[in-house]
Amino acid sequence: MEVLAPHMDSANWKDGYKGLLAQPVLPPFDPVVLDFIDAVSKRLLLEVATRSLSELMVVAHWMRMAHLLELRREFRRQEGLRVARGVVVHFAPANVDSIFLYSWFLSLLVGDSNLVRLSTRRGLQMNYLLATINHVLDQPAFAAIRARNLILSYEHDDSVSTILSAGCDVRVLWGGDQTIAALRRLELPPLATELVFADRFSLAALNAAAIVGLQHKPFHELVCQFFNDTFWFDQLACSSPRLVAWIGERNDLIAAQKRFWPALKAYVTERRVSYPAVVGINRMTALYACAARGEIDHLPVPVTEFPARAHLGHGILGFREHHCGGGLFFETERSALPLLADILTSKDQTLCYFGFNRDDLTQLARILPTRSIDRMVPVGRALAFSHVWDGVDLLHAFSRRVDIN
Amino acid sequence: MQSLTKQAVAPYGEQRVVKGVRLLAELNELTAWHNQHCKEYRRILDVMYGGRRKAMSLEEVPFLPVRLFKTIELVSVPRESVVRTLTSSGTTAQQPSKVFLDKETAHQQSRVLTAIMKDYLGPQRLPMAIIDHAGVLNNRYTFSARGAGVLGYSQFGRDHVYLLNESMQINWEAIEGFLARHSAETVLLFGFTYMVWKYLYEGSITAGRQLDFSNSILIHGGGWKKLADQQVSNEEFKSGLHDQFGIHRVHNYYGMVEQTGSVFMECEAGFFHASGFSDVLVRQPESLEVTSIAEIGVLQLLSNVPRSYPGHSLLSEDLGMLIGEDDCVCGRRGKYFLVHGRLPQAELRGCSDTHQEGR
Repeated sequence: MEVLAPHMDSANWKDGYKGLLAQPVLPPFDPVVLDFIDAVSKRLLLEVATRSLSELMVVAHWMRMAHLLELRREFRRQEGLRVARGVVVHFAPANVDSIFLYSWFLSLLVGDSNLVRLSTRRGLQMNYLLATINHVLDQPAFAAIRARNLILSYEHDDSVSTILSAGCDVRVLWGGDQTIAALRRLELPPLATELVFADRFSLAALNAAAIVGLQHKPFHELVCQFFNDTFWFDQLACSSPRLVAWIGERNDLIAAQKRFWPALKAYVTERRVSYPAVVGINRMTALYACAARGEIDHLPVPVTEFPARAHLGHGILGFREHHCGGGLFFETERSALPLLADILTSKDQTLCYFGFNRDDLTQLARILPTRSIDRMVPVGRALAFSHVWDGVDLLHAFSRRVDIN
Repeated sequence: MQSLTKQAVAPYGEQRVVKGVRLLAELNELTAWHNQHCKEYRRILDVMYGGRRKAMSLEEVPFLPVRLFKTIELVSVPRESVVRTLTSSGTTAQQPSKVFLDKETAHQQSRVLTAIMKDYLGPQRLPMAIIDHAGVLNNRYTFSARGAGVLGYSQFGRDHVYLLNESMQINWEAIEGFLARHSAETVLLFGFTYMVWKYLYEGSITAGRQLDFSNSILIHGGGWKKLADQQVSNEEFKSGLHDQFGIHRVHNYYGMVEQTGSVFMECEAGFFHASGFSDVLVRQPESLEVTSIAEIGVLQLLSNVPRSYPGHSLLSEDLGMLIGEDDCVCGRRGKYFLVHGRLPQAELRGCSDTHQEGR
């Protein structure tokens, strides 16, 4: 067991935990919380600038005061009087470093106390992040935050997770199916609720005619945005597109694909994205498995091409399970956006779109299969975290309404 | 089948050109067989090879990435004729490989292994000591790679003795009895590389007892990964065993559970050899182009044995280097090569399973 924040002897984590449970909640958007998050943001921006940790830039941007005040406006628009729920325990995902911050800070903003469990595998970025948080937490002005928050790291251990769960009012699980199944078995207090963010799949819908008609500059911009959506987390973030659905007439489809893929490949090369050879072998193995199961019907480019492409067969949806990230795109075509509904499942989270207006998207949204697609965002916004995630408004879920008649 | 009988006499005698033509025909026949009897394999040829069935050269023979046997079940005979399922956990994936054997393929594996081993051991069965414990053969139906290895190689020996007990301690009594019974004979020692080093070599050093195995041939295999982690090279392995036990004839074998039987034996000169039942191609890890001699790449392994499952052409995740063909100083014909361990593994990021790491 390691206590990552605030500074304390790891052996005393249980005392820290008990102290936290004894604290009353804070009012929503208390100034001390806003100042704390803003201070972390400022310090982080300083670090990021000096160390070129571009992914943390997005996080720091999300945490700046202007955005926090926007969230406060959003929170206040809700009906009735809302107060914090109490203690929220967050089981953060192992590999997308920043997710834990969003989960934690949204809960903090509405006034909850927090227990955060982080993986024992932590990268460079995470260590900067934790050092920054600790530096700010050490300031006397933030004693109230220090007393109410505890970031822990331990190898998965049911006995510890049981203790954490026993004290919480909300449990938040981020992770793969196995993680969730294992943690869900642990008992919660009768009044506690649970939020689960499971492994998801995401896709892009591109309007072929719109792409064909783009001027050079906006076209290049589109390619860059698509690149950011997919390659930032090696195409393993749940919201990164792994399937590209081309929408339009046959001639446009062909022309759009001919224009788009070589441009993406050139940009990937320009950005010097390259993976160890074993990632290529993994990608190839995934394609063989998809082929064996009849999930793909042909390869538009040779199997060794990077990024890799595979064309979906008809009616078999299992291809989602084989994807291993690292630059592999399934492809399919439809003559109109609503026809995409036939391929969607409850696994699907984000639809990144290009070349569609709100009416087009609404038309599809009305006929979505049960539970499929929680987000439709323009290409370039796949990884932008919102307080509404997987259909859940976290500001709402982390608080409760006191009804006054 | 007739050609196999011929090779059984001399698995290392054929010249390059003759072998190339024969093996290509055999592999094409196997491709056609699996195409007809395994629908997953047929779909793979359709999608990944544009429907191509017949190869004009060994390089063109369609291959499967070996890890595919961990993700899907591939079988080319009716399920009811499967008599044994081999499994191997590999090193990274949680799921084991599954290899389905019918009577014919299992029998062929053993014939092929016999032909290869006779070239190294001579025609007689030798008294045999196995560096493992007898419990490794438990569970007759799903063999571990270790169990299958022990069982497969046991046929080359007689008066078998297991040198370890269930707690992986050396059974001194058994060894001394065995050596006393066969003091005047050449004996066969067999074990997995890691077991030989960890339990026999290190075990005897810890116990401070030396043994005289100077009149023995050690056959070992199963991979260097665990020993490479301890920084033990093949040279150190050999010299350690020589110093401690007086062993000077050591042959490592290289192969995979997906191609049991047609193993690549290390010759007296220290190179792995393809036999008449097998061949090896080295491919550049990214482009998968076949590389030239002395260039490192991933090994593609060809075997004319697998018929009950489509394993006759596999792309491994092992790195190696071709040294030459037909002209090894040991006198054996065929390609000879070196193995340099596994392709370095890498971990991508993403919303991966937070729970798996600890379990």
